[in-house]
Amino acid sequence: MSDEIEILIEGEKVGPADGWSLAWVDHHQRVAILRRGPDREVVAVEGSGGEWVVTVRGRPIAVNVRSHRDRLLAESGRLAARHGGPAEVRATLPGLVVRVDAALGDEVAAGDPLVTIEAMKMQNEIRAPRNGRVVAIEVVLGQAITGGALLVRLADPEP
Amino acid sequence: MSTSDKLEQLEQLRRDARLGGGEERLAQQHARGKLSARERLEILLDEDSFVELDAFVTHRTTEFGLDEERYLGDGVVTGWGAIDGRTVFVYAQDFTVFGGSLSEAHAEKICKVMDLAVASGAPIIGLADSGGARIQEGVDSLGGYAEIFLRNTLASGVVPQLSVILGPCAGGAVYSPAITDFTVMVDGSSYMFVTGPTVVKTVTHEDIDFDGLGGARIHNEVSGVAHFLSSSESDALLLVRQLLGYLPQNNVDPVARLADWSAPAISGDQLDAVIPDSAQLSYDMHRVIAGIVDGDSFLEVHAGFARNIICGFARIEGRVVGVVAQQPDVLAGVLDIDASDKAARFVRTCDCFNVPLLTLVDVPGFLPGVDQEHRGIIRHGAKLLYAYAEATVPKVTVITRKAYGGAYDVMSSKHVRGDLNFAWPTAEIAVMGVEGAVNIVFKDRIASAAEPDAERAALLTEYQERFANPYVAASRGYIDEVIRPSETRSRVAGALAVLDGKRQPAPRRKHGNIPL
Amino acid sequence: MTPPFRRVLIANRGEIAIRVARACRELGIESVAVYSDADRDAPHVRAMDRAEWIGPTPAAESYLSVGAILEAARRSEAEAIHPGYGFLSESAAFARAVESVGLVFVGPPAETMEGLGNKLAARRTAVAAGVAVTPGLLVSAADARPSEVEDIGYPLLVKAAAGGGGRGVRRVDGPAELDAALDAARAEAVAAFDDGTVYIEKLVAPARHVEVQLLGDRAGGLAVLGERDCSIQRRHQKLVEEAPAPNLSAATRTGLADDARRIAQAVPFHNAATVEFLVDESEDRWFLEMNTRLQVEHGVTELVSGVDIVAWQLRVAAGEQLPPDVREPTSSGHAIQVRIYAEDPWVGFAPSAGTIMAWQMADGPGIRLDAGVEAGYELPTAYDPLLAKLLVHASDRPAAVTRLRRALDETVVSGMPTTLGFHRWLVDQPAFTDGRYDTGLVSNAWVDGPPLTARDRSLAAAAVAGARGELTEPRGDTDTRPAGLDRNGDRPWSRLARSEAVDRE
Repeated sequence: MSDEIEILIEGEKVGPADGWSLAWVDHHQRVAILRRGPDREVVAVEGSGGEWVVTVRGRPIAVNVRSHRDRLLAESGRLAARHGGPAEVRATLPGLVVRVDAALGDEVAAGDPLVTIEAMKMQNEIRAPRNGRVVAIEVVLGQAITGGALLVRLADPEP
Repeated sequence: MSTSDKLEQLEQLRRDARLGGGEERLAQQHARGKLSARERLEILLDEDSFVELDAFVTHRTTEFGLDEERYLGDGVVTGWGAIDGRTVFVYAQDFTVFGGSLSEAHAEKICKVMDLAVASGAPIIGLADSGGARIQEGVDSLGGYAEIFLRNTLASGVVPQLSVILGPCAGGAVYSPAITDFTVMVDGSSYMFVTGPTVVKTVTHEDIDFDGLGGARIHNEVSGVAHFLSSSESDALLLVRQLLGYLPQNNVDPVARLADWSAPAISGDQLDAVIPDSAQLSYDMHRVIAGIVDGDSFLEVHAGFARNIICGFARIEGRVVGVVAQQPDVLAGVLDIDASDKAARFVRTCDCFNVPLLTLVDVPGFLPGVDQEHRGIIRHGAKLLYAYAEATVPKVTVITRKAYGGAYDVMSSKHVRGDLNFAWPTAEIAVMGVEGAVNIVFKDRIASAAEPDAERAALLTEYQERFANPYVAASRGYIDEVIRPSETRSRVAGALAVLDGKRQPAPRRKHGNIPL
Repeated sequence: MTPPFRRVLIANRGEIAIRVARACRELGIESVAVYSDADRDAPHVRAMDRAEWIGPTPAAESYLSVGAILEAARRSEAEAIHPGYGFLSESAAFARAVESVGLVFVGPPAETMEGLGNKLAARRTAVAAGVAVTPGLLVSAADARPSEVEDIGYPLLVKAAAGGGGRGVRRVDGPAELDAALDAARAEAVAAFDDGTVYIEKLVAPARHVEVQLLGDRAGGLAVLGERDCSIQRRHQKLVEEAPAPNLSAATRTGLADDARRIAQAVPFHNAATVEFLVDESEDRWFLEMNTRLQVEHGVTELVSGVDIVAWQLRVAAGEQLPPDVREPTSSGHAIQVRIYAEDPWVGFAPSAGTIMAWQMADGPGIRLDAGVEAGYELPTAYDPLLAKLLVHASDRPAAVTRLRRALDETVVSGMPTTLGFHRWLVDQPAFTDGRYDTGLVSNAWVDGPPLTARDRSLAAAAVAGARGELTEPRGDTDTRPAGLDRNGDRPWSRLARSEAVDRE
């Protein structure tokens, strides 16, 4: 049950191609060969945890992995969001702040973009986990941040 | 029944057990913004690491029609799993079964994993979400609580015990978390109290709600019952994972030293400029800590309670250390009753799990006042003194500025077995502040002077220059070395390295008699 | 053979510096690298016998600094300077400065650059030599909008008159767009060359970009090493080149060679240069310009002609004459080069940055790789984003295309988007496999690139599913070793338990 993972590409769930097996060509450089019968494809597989980039036929493809645990974590955050309380929005991965979408005092709805972080060569929109009011923005444009860094504080929306 | 039927029967029972109180109650739990016991364990533990025990246990009560209502597991999920690859024993109360109330069987399940944890030398983590005693079981339920309290006590100082409050925790039940090493609460959804608002209203006529009486903020900021405040269940559970990284498996095994670490967040140059020129100005001791410990390694304990003293875990060159530090920004870093209690508890937590102590001192003394004296600052201050004097882990002390009077003695001084004691050039080690000292020592001389104010000013300057420095103490050997602030990290790291494996046998005794 | 020089300074970086250094090594010449601050640890520095620091990262203060490079040559006691391509390679002033301090400039003489480097001078030379040029017009900075423009007709191209290459070229489809294009081109021309003169010429489209490689010695010996097709371009910058040009009549090939020869003979010329032409659908050809330097794509000509162009640049620079087998080489087979740029073809070939994570290059029969980078290399953003050139050579064009596809399937670069994705797409396009394409291929057929296919997605998912777990790194905040384990893997707790078990009171 907990080993179920979701693989997402461009935001859509993707099932791994059937019957392909992966063997490492160069573990250090993370180059592998995918094989199925006579078909073969040499790919680069970078990343870990939830964020991956696979280079297939010269094209880097961003792949997100969500484990059952990740989904529970998201669910828990969502549940907490629905039930108020202060929310600290943190970076999920290290990167560079390329856009600050929220302004101090903004009323935001769950899912609204707050900060955009460039990591793994991708722009990741960090979204509001709940409805609320932006009471602090802890980062500035161009700032390099570590994973888990506090980005934005939300408080209950004005009644 | 064929073998395959029997196997299928087992699978069916397992499926039933996983459902807890049923899908309807699970949906209710989710509607309250809460996760189920099993979902919580999935977040807490490494993926696929949980092994459940006693899934088929049910209660034995026949009273009040309860024999009609039995659920596999009886309201608590127990077993073991891993956190970052380390074994931990866990129990998670399941609010969907009888509101997580504690029956005899429920208590036996908890006791079983506690016994296994102590036998195998692994931490025990309890996730509390319980309405209280299973009233229908009467004294059997009370007995169950006591069995847990006893085990909490016997396990204390042997394996780390962590409590996470994820719902109600009321009545006698509160004493289990109270005995454990750390308690984590979730803002807005967890409560602890001995007697609830209704009883309080009847007895003392105070009108108060759950949150105001025993919510997460009250216990983190006012009572000090809880050590950590989280904004969501998942944050609380992830915090436990993080906290465990600073603790050993038990009181014998060491905490792993990290092979990689990052530089402090505050540079040496910035540290050299932290202390203001004027003794009247305060500064943020968090900056000093950030200038000494590995980047991003500081985890503050009791961050909201008694903020005039800072306690927390950190790493220095990958080695775990417990940091105790005055906070000049809050009440000038004075020692009062709450600060003494908070730090004493933390020092003893570190000592029993062999975590070295780094003490950063900037203390003007104990807080004067009728309230403090009447409430027993003597008794409470003595706890901190006792804790420091008793601790045998490596103790490294850095005096950043003031170290006055008895508080100097208390704060891991050389005299209470501080192993290596450093002072910054800005340190002032004295019986009391300069002004007070001059007024007492030169009382007659000032009074008889032609111009008393001028005389006092001259004496102040002279006294300041002669005594308000670290060199008098250094000349006695009470300070091992006077160092630049920017040298602190390397000195402390070196001290921790040479003191690694320090032995300091104590005389045989049953246990000391700490002034509680 | 006596080496042509004892020591040569290579005033360039990246793959071309390494390419020239290889020729030096084969000729017994000591090579001297130059490097800026950003290139301290660059592969080209290690590829050479010695290295000289020439300044800070900005090219203007290092690779474009004549003073710094001459000083480096003096310090290293080099006898000659090879400029590579780009940077100072087409600077007549630099060529003269090199000669003036008594060193040899490995390239055409300054007079050639002056006669042909400038667009208009080159056209005058071509017309005088009897070579057709596209109708065109010079517009001075002061001249608002000359009426002769209408005689040329639309569509047309507007660009800075000074300088070469394809940068800043604007297409104008009708009179309404002309003024804006003129203003923009002028602004750019002033910024880049401090000369607001712009040039307008007829746009030949659809057209192919075909060029002829020349090699000349100081005694007037001239080799015409055949043509290359360089039509696959983005933003007027080449991506893929091949030799010989596919689907061209023998008459046109001969005509191109003759035109190129006439132009070379119209000016003082020696060393290496390229004459570029446009060839339209009816195989009419127009002289475009002459590049008085080594070209990025010289390798395809080397593969089919068997002539080492860089080696001969050095040899003729030292005074050697071209032997008959170089002057009349026998062409063999077909060669294709793809340029691997750090650019994202899916976002308009925008430059990408980063550190090269994987660098797996094709190998085996008929493969040549000219690379300037390696795994772990952090790409400086200050310079050209060309990482490497992958070349294949086979007996004929279909075999070369098959070999290129095979080579691309073996090639993996990760860490940043590259043009490899474009090339892999290209080798499956009928227009390319049939050799029937023109300069519009990228803008008409590629546009912004194809979307991800279902196969791409499921392969990527399969790769992650396979790699996950195995590659999952330990969490940052913990040791990889279970806590409490000492070096023997024995826990103090269990030792204590054992000793307690046998040591009872």
